[in-house]
Amino acid sequence: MGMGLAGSSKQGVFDRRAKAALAGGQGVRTPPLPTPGAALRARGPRPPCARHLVRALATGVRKRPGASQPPLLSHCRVLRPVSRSPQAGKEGACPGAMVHAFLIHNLRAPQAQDTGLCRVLYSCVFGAENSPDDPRPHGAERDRLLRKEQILAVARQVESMCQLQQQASGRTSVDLQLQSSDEPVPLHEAPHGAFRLAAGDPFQEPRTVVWLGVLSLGFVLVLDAHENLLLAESTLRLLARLLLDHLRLLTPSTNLLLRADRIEGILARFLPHGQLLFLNDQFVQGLEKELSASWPR
Amino acid sequence: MFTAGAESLLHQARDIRDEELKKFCSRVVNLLQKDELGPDAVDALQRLFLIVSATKYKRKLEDTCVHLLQATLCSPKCPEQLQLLCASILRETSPRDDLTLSCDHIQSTRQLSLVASVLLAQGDPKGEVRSVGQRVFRILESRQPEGPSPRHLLPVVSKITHLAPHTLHEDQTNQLSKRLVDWLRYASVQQGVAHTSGGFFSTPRARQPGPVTEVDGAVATDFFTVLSTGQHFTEDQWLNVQAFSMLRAWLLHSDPEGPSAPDADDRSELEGSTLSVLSAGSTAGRLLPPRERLREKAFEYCQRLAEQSTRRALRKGDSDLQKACLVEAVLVLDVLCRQDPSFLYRTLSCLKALHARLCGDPARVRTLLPIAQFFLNHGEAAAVDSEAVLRHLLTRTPSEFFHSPMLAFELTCFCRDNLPLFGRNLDILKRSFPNLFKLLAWNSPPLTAEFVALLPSLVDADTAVEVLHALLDLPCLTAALDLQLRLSPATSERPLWDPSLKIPSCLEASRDPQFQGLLQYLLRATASGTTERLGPLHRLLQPLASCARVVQCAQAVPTLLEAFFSAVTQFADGALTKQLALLLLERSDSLFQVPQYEAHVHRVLSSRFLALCALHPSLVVELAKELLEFVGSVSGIQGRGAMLASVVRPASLPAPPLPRRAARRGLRSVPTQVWAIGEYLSVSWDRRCTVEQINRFFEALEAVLFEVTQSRPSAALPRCPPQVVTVLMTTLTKLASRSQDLIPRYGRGRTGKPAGFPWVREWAPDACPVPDVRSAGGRLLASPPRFSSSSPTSWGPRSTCGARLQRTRVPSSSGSLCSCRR
Repeated sequence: MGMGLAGSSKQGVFDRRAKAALAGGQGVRTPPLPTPGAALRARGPRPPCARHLVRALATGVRKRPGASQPPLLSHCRVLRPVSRSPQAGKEGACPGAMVHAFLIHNLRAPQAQDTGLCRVLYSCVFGAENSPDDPRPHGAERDRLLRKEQILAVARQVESMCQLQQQASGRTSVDLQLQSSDEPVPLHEAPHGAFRLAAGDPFQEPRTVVWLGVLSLGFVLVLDAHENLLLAESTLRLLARLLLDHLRLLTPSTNLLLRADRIEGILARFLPHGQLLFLNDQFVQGLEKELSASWPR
Repeated sequence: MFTAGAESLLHQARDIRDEELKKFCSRVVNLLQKDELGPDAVDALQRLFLIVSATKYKRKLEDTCVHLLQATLCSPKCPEQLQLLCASILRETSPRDDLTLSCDHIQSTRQLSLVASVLLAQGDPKGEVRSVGQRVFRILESRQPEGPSPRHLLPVVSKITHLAPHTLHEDQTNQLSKRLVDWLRYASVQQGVAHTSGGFFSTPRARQPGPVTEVDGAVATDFFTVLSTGQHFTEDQWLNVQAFSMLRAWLLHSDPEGPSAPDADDRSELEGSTLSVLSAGSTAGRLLPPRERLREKAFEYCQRLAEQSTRRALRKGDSDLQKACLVEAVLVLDVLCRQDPSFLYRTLSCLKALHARLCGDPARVRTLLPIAQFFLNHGEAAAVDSEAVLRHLLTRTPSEFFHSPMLAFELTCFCRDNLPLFGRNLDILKRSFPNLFKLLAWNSPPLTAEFVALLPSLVDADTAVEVLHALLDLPCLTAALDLQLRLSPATSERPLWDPSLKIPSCLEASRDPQFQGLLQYLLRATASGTTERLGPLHRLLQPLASCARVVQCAQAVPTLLEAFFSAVTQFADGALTKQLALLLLERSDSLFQVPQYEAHVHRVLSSRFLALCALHPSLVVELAKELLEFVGSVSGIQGRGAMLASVVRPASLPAPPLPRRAARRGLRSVPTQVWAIGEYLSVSWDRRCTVEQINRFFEALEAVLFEVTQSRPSAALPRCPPQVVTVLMTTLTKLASRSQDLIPRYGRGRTGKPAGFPWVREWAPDACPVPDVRSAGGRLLASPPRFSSSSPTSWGPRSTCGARLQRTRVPSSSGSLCSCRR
């Protein structure tokens, strides 16, 4: 019940943006599984709320209009209760602490919600969430769809959180003017925060989200619930700094969309398989040298 | 940067048709078949990655293309850039059924790690996790000094144990534990040699590498850890970093009492510890088994980290790492003590010293949380009272660091997750709710859900009234915290508040001793047991009410109020219910004036007032005096907007979202207090109800009805919503049915014609609810029921709720009412 209420409280904030995000490309439409290519261009009726869809995808209760097919993901239907005891969380089926996903998305200025949509620009999920076999056809496709929807749901929530924080601290406009690329971005002053995702909404396991907003980009780590947050936070800052430096993201002409190899190269070294690393300054420099040798700037 | 160019690129990637993609795939195939893979191939693969990743729907890649991507990924000569791209495309399109990838013949560990990333993304339909795990372990076991470095494989092991904890055999687990001991404890203390390629500036003779240093530049005094530094690092030093990074997860995994036992959660900690004590005792004579040895070394490592974190780091990055290492060290110690209580006494002295040191260090306040967690977990077993630690954490930290979003989040989660462990210290948590509310007031968006879960544990019979006051004053608390920050000396370069909002008058007036006292009360750290009227403070802080942070907080309050009442109704007795109901009446007109806040809160309060009455129907009779005053004050106010709004939402305002439960029960916009009077002011609910009481209420309500329908001082004021009139009339009808004296006043006879209040007809001849009531009243009067003990009737807009009540509580004497309805 608690979660439901909480959702309703945020609804005012999330709904509007979620709907705005729905209006276009990556938004949610009736999932036309058999012919995905054609469906991508078809404009179906707009569902009520993306958050609900993600929840429905995770719980398998969404009824598609005009279809009496079985729910999308029946194997996820049994929601695990949020573990209240720290022991349960730490010693449950998945011990330990790792990063589940890393993503980069765009951040729109709070007053410019109508311009553009919330876009996931890059995402990397480390390993798949444990899911029992789904014998039905398109099981794999459904898994991928769910994964993408989960990531988009996280991106939207982060965008809302970032906008709310910016509004609260009186910085209504995200600094969009470009600085000269030589000047380092003050990452320690950039808006940042963390929030929790309850089990089943949108991931099966409870997760913690740590985010950092730099200019018009949001950098996000989705963590297991009991990860070392201090380490996660400094790793996220490090990743953001490396990405800004090595991809020269501050130069207007550059585009991270076509430079997945560099992003992957950075992640493979600094966040291998989602393992947070205790790297002191010299280790970071060593890895950076290795990186620069592979990709001359 | 995200620009229009990027947006259009995304659109292009999405709009590519299947035929176009087919063509593009064949181009990729051509490029990948060449002997020399050049920049063209890189460019094509980058585009292919964008095309498959930009949409959430499946992209059909040609079989030959998929095959070549796998071949390129596994080819030993292929440059890293291309391998990364191939792996990311395959991962992005996974899970796939047509994967032929296997890691059995790959020698390079870096490549193996990439292939593993693709295989692990498949979700394990064909046992990929196990096969990767076995291959990785074969390489780890080979232990060739010149062989591939296991550095890239440890994260894979970590991931595998995370995804499928039962993949590894017992002997494999032991094997890795042994090697982790070597890497953790016996890494070289000499710096590595630079791998220069003999460039122009390289020195002709290789310099002898020096010893590793501490973060403050001093020569290392003991074994190598992640906090040891140097110019270059050896392979085993890299492995040391990897090993410590995965240590906690591995300890949890390799503990048989942990994940492999299905009922591990149910078993009490004490039982688990006894087992480990016995096993440790039986093996004391010979060399420790790998698992115990790893624990021993992990313990030494953590102690060394604690020692190293006292050094003053030369670099900012290292100083941050020190904090993260302290947190991890305490978390690892916690795991060790849970698995083997013999560590407990050694750990305690270390942690007590650490806590004493960290208490005075504001920069490391977040490291106090795992320490408090440790004391909560082990306080009882070690016969150490965690009270002092918790008291410090809960009374000092929130007041000083509420503005740090991460600390606020961590502390709230700490409280929420540890509720079962607080035990007799739960009282400290309950009493420090004003402090915890500061975290919520300042960071409401991410913390509302956490507090909804936390509230039921914070509320008990002693604190309920104070908590409710505090919840209603939450936006005011946000404003007060803002003011407090503005008044305190600047702590950071950037202001923590909204600098565009200037409030010179507020800052000036806050020095007034009258406000000082109220501010101190509002900003108290622990529950005081008293309540203060904060009206003057509301007026003082009014300029801050438009601040976005205050508005955000105000939006969270209705949700929190719902959670509060759901919790409180579980244990509230008659006395507490009465107190709360009084509080609702009293506070309905003394709220901080934030836009929309009053309306939203009133909706919750009114539905909850009715719910309280439903739980304790005699409430109306007991509160007769206060309710009469309340009703009287409604009629007494000239421009009755605000007060009337407490009874009902003005129909002219757009309807804000209703709490789901209220909407479900049909409680939309009802003057609940008045409704409650009609429902429960009856001898059938409470024997103490007298005719005089009913008459007095009737008169008061009649006056209200007259006023709301007749007097309208200015055309600018909204007309009274028809729902109010409806409910007032329904209530009057019900009251009239319970008293002989009222019949002549209510109706002019049993004519069947609309009776009662002729002025209402003039007021709203075509307002839709009114005719309903008139006919309802007419019907009722056409055959008057037994006046002494009428049942609660239900007409008007709240028929759903009324019907529900009627179903559950129909008095036996209601036969006449039923007959009159027919």
